[in-house]
Amino acid sequence: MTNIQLKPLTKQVKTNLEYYNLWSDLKVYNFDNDSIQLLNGKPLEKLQPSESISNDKTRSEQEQQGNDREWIFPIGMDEKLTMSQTDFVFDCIRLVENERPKRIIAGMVNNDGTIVYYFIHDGIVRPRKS
Amino acid sequence: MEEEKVAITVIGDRALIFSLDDVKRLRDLKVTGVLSGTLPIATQQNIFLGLPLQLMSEEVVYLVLNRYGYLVPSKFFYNNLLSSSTDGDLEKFLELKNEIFQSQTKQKELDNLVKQKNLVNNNNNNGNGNSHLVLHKGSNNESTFFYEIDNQSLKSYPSYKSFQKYYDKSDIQLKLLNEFFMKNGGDLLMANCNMFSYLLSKNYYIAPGLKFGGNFIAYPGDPLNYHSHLIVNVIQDFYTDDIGLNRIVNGGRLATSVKKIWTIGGNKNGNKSYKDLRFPPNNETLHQQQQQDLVCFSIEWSGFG
Repeated sequence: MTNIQLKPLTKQVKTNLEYYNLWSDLKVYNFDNDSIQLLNGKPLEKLQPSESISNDKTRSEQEQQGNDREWIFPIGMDEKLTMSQTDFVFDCIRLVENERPKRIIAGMVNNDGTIVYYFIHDGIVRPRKS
Repeated sequence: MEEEKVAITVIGDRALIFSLDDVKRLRDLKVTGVLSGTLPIATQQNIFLGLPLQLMSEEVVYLVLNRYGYLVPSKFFYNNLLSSSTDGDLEKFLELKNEIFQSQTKQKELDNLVKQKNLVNNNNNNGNGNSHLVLHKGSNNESTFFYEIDNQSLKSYPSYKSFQKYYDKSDIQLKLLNEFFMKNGGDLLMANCNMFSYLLSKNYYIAPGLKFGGNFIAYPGDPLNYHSHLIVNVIQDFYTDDIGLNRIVNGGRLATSVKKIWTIGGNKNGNKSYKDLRFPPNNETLHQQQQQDLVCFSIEWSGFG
């Protein structure tokens, strides 16, 4: 895993997460003949969970197990993102985790260096209580 | 006993419900619609509006295809019905018309009689005593003074309901639905309908999404009791349509700040064309198969970055 060639976009997001948001243990994964590059890491503080409308139980169990790692999908603001691509990213992660993750985080990179992060949940979730 | 179906009248580009009983029935089906009736000289804000109830196009399609309601055809249908009627049918219509005409004339005569009696009695009493009393006095002599008018005027008048058996048939309803689709966006509407029935199957109540810039907003229960949870946008083509990263930021940021989730949905196997729509077999709900191919993602601001 150490000799994976980082794409510029991935590198930018990784740097931002590591040094600005203070994430730890960031790993890079390549999928689909290196066309998709994803990051997996641990945030400084556990990110707020949203409840899934269907399997509430499995979700809370998963959180108790301390699975607080997040998947990051770096993407440039000038890129196109379709439903099927998003769906495909979820399926790629399944190859590693044996199941589709409950959510991924899209790390959107602007050409001025701004990076914004948005959760993309799989399916319909309930909004946070707070 | 089978519940009576809801009559959906399409006037211009609005689908309207005029009966209060129908509105109640729709509420039980989780179809809320929007009340739109008001008086031209005393216009009201939208919380005070009354009948008729205006339905979203998606609601109309859902109701018709699930046999909860039927579309009332436009005047072209009646013209055609007239031209295809036999002489016997026409005679019946004419008889009915005469009957109504006569009952109306009778009513008019009665009204006149009441007026005259009032006038005479008032003169006799020099205007003393209230008019109710006067009427009562009169009723002793005239047995028909108090004339009860049937509240269900629809029953006695030849309205759209009298012809229901002619157009509440699968083939005619399908044609009317096709026409409705053509007027209201065709296959674009079809994609919305799939999303609509998917959300409904997940026990959401659905309202028009203009308030938050989506196709729909979805409530976890009756909108009178709950705040909405979802702002829903429909992606027409699962494989080629760009969600748009700016839209993700827009939708996600707005939804999170109003304590909602921005949800997008698309059909993995593509949406059927409305032209291929058929009534589902009995005791099967609409798009049951298509719903399984529906993929949704919920977008929310991550809280950092």
